[in-house]
Amino acid sequence: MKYKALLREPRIIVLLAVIAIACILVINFGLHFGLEFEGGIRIPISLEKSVNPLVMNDIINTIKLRVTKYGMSQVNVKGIGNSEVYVELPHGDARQLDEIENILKQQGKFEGIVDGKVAVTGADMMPGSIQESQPTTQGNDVKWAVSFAINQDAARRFAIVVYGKANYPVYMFLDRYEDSIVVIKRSDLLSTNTSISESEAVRLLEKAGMKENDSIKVFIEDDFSLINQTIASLNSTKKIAILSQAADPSVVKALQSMNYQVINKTPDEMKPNFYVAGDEGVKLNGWGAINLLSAPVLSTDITQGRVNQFYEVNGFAPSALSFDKKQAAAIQESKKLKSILTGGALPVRIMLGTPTTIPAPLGEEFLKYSAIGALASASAVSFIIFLRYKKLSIVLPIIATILLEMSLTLSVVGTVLGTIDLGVMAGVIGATGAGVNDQIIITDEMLGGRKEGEKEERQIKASIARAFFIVLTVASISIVAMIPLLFSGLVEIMGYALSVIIEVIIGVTITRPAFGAFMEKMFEK
Amino acid sequence: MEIPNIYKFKNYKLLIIIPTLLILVSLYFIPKIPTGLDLRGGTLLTISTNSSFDENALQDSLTKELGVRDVSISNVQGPLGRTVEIEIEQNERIAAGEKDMRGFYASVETVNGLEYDISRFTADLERANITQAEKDDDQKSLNDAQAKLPASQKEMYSLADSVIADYEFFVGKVDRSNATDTTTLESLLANTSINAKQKYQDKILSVITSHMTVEQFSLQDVSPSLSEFFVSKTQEVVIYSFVLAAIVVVIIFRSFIPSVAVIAGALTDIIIALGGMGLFQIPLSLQSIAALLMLIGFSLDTDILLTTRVMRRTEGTPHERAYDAMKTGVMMALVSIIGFSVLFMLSLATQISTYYQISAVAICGLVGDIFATWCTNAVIILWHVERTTKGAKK
Repeated sequence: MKYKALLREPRIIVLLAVIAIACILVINFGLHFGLEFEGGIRIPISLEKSVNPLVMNDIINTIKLRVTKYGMSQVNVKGIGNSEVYVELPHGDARQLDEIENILKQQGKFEGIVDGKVAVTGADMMPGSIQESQPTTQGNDVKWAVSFAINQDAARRFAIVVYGKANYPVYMFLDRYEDSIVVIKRSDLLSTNTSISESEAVRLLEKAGMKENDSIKVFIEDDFSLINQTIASLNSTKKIAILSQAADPSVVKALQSMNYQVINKTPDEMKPNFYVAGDEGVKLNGWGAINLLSAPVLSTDITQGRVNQFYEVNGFAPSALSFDKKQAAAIQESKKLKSILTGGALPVRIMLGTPTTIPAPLGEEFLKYSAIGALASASAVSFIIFLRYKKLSIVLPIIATILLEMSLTLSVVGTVLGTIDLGVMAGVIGATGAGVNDQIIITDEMLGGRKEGEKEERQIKASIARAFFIVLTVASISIVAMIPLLFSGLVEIMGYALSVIIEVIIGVTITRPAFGAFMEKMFEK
Repeated sequence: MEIPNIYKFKNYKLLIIIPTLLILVSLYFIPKIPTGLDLRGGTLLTISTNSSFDENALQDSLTKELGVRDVSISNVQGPLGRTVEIEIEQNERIAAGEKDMRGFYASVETVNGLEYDISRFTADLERANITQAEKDDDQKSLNDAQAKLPASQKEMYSLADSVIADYEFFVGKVDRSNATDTTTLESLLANTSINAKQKYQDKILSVITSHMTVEQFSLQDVSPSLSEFFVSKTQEVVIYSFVLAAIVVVIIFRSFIPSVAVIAGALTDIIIALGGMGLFQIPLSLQSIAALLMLIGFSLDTDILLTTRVMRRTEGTPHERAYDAMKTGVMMALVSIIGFSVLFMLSLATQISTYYQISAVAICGLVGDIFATWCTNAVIILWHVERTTKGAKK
């Protein structure tokens, strides 16, 4: 047989290219393993009632956001059907479990502060009263609005606090940090496109941070060596220091040695959101560093002392956007505001279930035995094939194809499409059986075709074509039969469907044509 | 070894008796299939231990202390040491608590809505520029809401009491007299619920540790709502898969009898696999259902091989071609059976239940497939070919 001719065969070249791509994928992304193999914790959460996919998406994102806010970025959140959610912590232990349960149980604390006084809090809200309305169009502008109601006592307090404060901003915080200081980079402080001076910016930020007797002091990180004495002297009253993830490590260390609890924020969160409000100069609309999320302005009519339980927060989407984008921005803004007012609450109530725990050593053993299982089953299959054909030139390519299909599937599924879990492994092993079957069909067609003798080349082509008709038919049926499972939302076995489908696709488009090419070349001789 | 060409026998059509018998036997065993944890809910503990223990005593204390009826224990000495699997049925109190909790949440929603309405209409009545008609409307709605509120509140409190009654077995007395508003009541019950589940889990573990030393354990709990979802979703998936596969078969063959033969073959195969599950007590679970779906593909593999060989090839007689196809097909089934047997043995040694369920179901199905394809499908196809060629001669 001419091996060089084989290397010029397009089907073989495709196979080699795909192997190269798989190697690159594995090297670049690494293989990801599921909970069963890595060990960890899965917390099942039941929703109080069934929700539609949009709300489900909201819930998943809110949980993710809340959990990552506490520095647990590894957490996976998956929706199961329309009334269950899984929160998964790879490598998680019991201590983290408590933390997550607490995070999920509690809600954020909303505070609306006007001129340094608490005007309204999350506890004042009447349950279920916070509603976002559909964006409305006024000329070229798109208006968004969120309405809410507060209880009677709160309404009286609100009326007193906002009396005579027309056009003052209501600084809306979600989990405002008490007893804290902020150490900000000069570049972050002056990052917005306004002509504000440094001292003016600091004054505005400190004013926004005021709450009754608690102030949030703002320092410039670049001047740290000059001001560290001042900061050190504050540590009797201040406990928390907020700074950028990109902050100088020596500054972080110095603050920690002064007994500050350091909270890291992303560079984006550190940048204050200043804007120019016509003649009134520069105003602050939000600052992620101190969890100041929005700052709507009080309209005149509610600052005249009348006690009212019903309010609306509204605004217009940025006028620079196109109309469609305005719509989307309006919806997003009202969603954001609703989430602030509800304290980041989930749209429906949740019930935490009993967590499933998988110890990491057990997971490793699972993985080890799964690999052994795959190899053992491939070897047993190969042995039987050898008994049947008794020709190494046929058996070796079949074995090579089995192993290639397995490893290509695992590298595609484990790098970009998902994680390798028990279901995926079972699928890979199972689909291998189907793959071998296809090769037996191809081989038997070839052997059968050869017996005919005459017009050999045409016979070979015809046999291959006939074999591939069967192979393709079966492949399409196997894929179709797995598709409902793939989209079922049953995460326990979705991996199974995924790996079967991928292996079948790789098999019929790449490895089996290559196998066919190999066989053709072999019988030509 | 040569298998004789069974299709050359004069009465080869009688071959259909074998799969028919198999189907009948399977139909007897299908109701005996046990339901797995996923589909019926409950708690599964997998424990590795080195100590020996009295299975019956453990079972007794678990049922007594936890207030459940059904506890099954399997105890296997494998290469990884001793693995003990304990499956505990869904605790009735926990399940009832979850159900009542949902009811309670729904009633809280109603009460909140009514309270909101009351303050909204009260506020609106004080509006300066209100018209008489609006005033009447508001007053009517207000009276309405006020009339409904007491009953709803009563329902809410009675549901709260049943939640507490469900959970008190685990957490002791719960006093809700301090929870005067709905928000406090809600968080009291939510905490009680989490607490009860935690206590229940602790209790399971403490009973077990009093019987053996636990080195490592993993715990899986499937709540009633989750298992309900699994049941309905898997039914949906199986039906869709089968219908989609059937549609593809019909599109490919565009001929009635061969399509029916192929689909009947797949159906027979699945029925035999299910019978095997009943016979060998392989539980119906998410994993075994995934394996059943794979069988659709597997079984069609040989069915299509047979159909194309008999109907599209020309050399030899149809009976010879069918026999030829059988040699290839039986080889294919054998190879797959060997592959899954290795996985099956591995699963027995390591107690990885996913592998056990998938491989066992696949083996049953593949064995069934040999009979389904070569005794049913082949007979139908040959009969079909004989009939059409006879028709052509006339």
